[in-house]
Amino acid sequence: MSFLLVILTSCTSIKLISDYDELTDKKIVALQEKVTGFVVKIRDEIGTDKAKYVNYKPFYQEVKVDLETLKIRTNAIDNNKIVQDQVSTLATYIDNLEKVHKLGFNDVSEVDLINSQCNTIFTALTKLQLGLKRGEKK
Amino acid sequence: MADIDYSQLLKDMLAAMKQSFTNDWNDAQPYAKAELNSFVDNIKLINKLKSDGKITEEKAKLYLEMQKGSMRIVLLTIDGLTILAVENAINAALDVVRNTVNTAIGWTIL
Repeated sequence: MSFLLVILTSCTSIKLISDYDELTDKKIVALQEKVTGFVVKIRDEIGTDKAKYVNYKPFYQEVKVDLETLKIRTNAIDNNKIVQDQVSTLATYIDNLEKVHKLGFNDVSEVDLINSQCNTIFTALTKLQLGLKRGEKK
Repeated sequence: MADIDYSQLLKDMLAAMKQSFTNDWNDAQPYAKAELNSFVDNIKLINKLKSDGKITEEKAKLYLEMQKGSMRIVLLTIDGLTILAVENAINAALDVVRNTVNTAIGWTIL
């Protein structure tokens, strides 16, 4: 019996992450484009009324809808905890970005910081998706 | 506002993360180094903006929360790491510098 168990264990790999999902990948890319567009635009507007939160409320509403769609999609896929945790963390990041924006940006260096964080975040999200696509992640 | 030894901050945080990740450290190291470097840059920026009177405590806390979010997402890309392991490593790194940073900045931001 224990011999059989050893054979079964050695033949079975434990899967910690889902297979590649093209729709999740596409949604992440679309979200990255939207957030990058926001950062580029607002960087030029710092110090003017155009940069105020009130002018960007539709941006946050759109991004939140996109994130909810992404959450529903990733939650519907089995063995997808890592991607779900990444999406959930991204949603919290956007909530905090919105809070910062409501307080107002006083310096371009703040937007540069956000730009750097967003680049890092979306690179990591994309890297994981590419790893899944190539079948490297287990 | 006291001076901060940023290279010491980085060393302390790296050592704490290394201890927390144990067997996964080899895989995590390059990502951890890059992310903790960004974290230190974030502290530098907050320190400067505070000196210039351009940031509030509330906003400084939010920027550090956002940096933690970036760290979580990056570290989760490493094979085999769970959110719990990542969270423990981030907390370990922040625990060792909390007093130094809060005292030097003069706000409770960590």
